[in-house]
Amino acid sequence: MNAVEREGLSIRHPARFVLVGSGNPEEGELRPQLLDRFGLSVEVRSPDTVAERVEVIRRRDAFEHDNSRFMRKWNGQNTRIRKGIIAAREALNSTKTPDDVLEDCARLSLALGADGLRGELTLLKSARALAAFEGAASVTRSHLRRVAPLALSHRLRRDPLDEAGSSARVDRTVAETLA
Amino acid sequence: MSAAAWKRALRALSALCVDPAGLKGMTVRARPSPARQVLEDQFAHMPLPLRRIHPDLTDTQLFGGVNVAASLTEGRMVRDKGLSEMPATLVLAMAERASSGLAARLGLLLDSASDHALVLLDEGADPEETAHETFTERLAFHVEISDVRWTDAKPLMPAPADFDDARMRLGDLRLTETQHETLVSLAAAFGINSLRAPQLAAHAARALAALDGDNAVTNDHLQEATELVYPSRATRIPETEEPETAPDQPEAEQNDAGETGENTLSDIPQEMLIDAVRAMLPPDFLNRLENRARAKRAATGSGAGLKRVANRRGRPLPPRPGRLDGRARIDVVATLRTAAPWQALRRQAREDAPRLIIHPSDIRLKRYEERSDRLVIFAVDASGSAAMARMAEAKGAVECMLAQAYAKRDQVALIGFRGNSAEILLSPTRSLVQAKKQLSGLPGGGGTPLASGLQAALQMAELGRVRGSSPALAILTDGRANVALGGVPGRAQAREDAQAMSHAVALQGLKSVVIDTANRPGKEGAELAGWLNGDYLPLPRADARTISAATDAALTA
Repeated sequence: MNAVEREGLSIRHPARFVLVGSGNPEEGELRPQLLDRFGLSVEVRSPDTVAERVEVIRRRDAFEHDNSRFMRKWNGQNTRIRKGIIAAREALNSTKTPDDVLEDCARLSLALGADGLRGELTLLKSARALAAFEGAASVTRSHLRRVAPLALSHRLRRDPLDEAGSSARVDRTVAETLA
Repeated sequence: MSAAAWKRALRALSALCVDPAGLKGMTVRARPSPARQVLEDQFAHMPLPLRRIHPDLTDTQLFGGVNVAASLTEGRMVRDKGLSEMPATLVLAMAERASSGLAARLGLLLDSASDHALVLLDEGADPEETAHETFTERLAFHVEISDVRWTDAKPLMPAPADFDDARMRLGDLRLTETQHETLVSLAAAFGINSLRAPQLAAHAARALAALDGDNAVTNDHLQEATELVYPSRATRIPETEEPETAPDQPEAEQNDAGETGENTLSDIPQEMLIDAVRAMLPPDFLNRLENRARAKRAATGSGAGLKRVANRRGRPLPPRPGRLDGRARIDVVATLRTAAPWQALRRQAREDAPRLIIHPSDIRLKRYEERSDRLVIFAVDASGSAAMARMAEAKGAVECMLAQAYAKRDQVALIGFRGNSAEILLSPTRSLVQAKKQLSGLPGGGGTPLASGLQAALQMAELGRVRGSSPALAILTDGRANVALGGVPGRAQAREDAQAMSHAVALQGLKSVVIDTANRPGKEGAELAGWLNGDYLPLPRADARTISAATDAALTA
């Protein structure tokens, strides 16, 4: 729901949206209370091998030169992914979440010192989503391990002395906690 | 140099005229000049209609939206079309002043499938004043024509028919696999991280080939394209002449070449390309890199200057009539109040009168007055000469200011300097209790490192400014500096350092007041105030309350 209040007039209307933000960390950080509201975060870097970069340019060139052929070529793969997502959405409710996974979520968040409880919730939800996408019957530690950097890396307190970056810190803590 | 730069600019513009959708646009860096005017006249060759835009462009103008004024007049919803709805060549004047918000919006427009092209007129005077990276990253070309003489600026563009031919030819031109690889590895050699660069260079090579009437993209075109696209993006100069040892040049690429059985780079030695691009790098390339890094650190990313972040919402001011531009908020009550007296008259004038008739001229907009916090930095001389009698007064003054801060929402900070260095005794605060505690422990004695004190105050002021407060400086000293910046004793050097540091403070435009605490106020204090471009208050026997009142008066004025 979104509520707009002006001059004593108040309107409420449903708002269903997903927010995708992109930003350059060199230009400054988001404030933590806003950052905390984003479920997942990923660090994106340009590919750094010439082979990969050439492949990107090649595909882009193909896309521009003969659009319909490019679309035909990749359509199959695209459809497969889409079907997988739709199936996962239906399977989401029937995916089980064992209690020890919940406990793992809490222990991970505690070990990382993430503020608030949004970290655990997102961790749980994304692990369940991943399990559903992969067709697993219940969430396991392996799912948790893979989504932990996505769900937690932006919720850490900044440590200016740690050069490794927050994803590396999450990975380290995950390895220690879920050993 | 001048003629070459001009030729380069024309060549870039010609390529852009051939393929505006692929090349996206160009940055023209030049102050307004006859040469730039000649170049601007050539924009008419672009196949898309020209639209001049400015850094204060609103969202409604860009993306379209409800035109409130017209809607009210016509009694139905009227939507304005935005610039984004029709492909056009957007010419952004004063691009270095564009906010990062506008940069993001225009970047979005360029990234979408629309066929917009963007020409930036970057009029930055200083090297730090540049257009936002979001723009420059997306546009293929960057040309500098500041130094082009008017006599060199001849409008020698290809004929319109040639452009048409070139556009026809463009569709059939493609780069070979090898040429793509050359572009990518060359970008890597110059430390260009973005993948847009080789992409744009490929487009540029095609456009140039089409322009020259060739049926294939030749290596000359490739070279020219890299000369046009890469130099402004380069972040490093390849260390060696041989590309094989250039950093970030993985083996894989050479292996691929070997497997296909042909020496892919033999027909166009990469060294030649590297040299070509290197020759086009601006002479102050390294300085610019530094500037770019600094601009990023300051989190501005553009020449728009530090934005004043007011950390509190403003006090409402009386509403005023005005045009709705999508940013201003309408004051509903004031608008209705303005319209109310006229309702009877207006209903008479119209047959099919709705219950409420509001004219565009009735619209009142909300206004706020935003004021940022004031931060008063006290730099207190705690040296032996000033300490004994004066310390107590200085402490008292700071406490008085703190008490006032509750009413005025000012912040107070305290820096003490004595011995051979300055020390931050109290970070900016409003807490009276904490301040008193810190103050009571302030020791005295030693030399007078005036320059260090000023330096610490300046740093704190800069920090305060970044956090959104307006800093002001109150310096309590007798002005008799005898310790230089490094902590070395020596009256002459100390005086010189203090003078240099004062100038730095004055350059920042900080308001300052020097309170001379010497037993017999002398010329030193007045001199210091002169360097600082601030006020001078000789207060031989002031009590805390007088100092506080005087400071307040001097800094507010």
